[in-house]
Amino acid sequence: MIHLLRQLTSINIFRESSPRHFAHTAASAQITSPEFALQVDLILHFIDDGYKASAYLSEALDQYADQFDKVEKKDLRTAFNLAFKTDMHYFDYIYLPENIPRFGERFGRAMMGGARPEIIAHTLSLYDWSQFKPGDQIIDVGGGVGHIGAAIAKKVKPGVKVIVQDRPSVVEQGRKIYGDVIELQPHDFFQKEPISGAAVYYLRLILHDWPDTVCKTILGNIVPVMGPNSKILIFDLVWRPDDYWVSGQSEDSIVHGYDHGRRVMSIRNLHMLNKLGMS
Amino acid sequence: MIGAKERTEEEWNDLFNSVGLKLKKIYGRENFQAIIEAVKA
Repeated sequence: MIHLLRQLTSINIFRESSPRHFAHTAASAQITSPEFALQVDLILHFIDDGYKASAYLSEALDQYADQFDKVEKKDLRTAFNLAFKTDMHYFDYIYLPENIPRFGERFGRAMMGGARPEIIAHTLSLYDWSQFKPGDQIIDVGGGVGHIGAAIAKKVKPGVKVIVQDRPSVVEQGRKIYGDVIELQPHDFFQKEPISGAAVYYLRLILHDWPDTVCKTILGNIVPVMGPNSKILIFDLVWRPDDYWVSGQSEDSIVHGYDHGRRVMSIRNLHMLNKLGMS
Repeated sequence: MIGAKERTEEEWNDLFNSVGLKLKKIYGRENFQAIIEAVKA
């Protein structure tokens, strides 16, 4: 521990006030502030989940790369599976009853930590949420604990209903935080969408977690219940060939592991490895 | 937000078309992440 703390002093996180005694700096003191609590969960999510998976990146590429964009969810295997010695998908694993306290609930808080108020405000400002009329329903599919749904609820007209759907334990967690602002409904988006004819089915940073084969299943569960005026809104990456280095690709060496290996086998990334002579 | 399974506009379009949707509009296209609107084809 002393060695780790001393390493951090080199970047002004903690200072060694006297030999083997460490004190906060202005930077490290931020960790103790209540506002930073969710960021801690985000960091722990990276470290405890993602970085462990990242250690198995090369093995995952060897074993699964050619199948990643072809298989259904049940057959999807990534670096996460190797690291955690399970055949379950990451999201199924972290919401096992015995894993909810450590992984599942932390994931919900981490996603809140990753969506700071200014980020939420910016992303929601891209769309005119005031266009919906009383009685309309906006369904936040896979909306986690409801932090984004609650923000949307503040931007719509009175009478527009915002319903956040996620796994039962996530809904339970979210109701304690946002239950007085929005409705939270248990739903697995791998099952048929239970609400027909909503004005909006909103998927925020959902489809980027999955290859096309699986995305077709997710969207295919919504399309049949859409009404003539329903729309699907997806907040996600739209990649452009000219912004390779500014669209997150520079983070891929981390992402591949962080993202539980789900993103490991992007064909484009394999092409990049080929270009670098690394495949 | 960390990037992930990236899709170009064309790839989003292909995905939508495969499930009976069509891409109607992209809001905030100049941003790293945008809002993509799809409706029934």
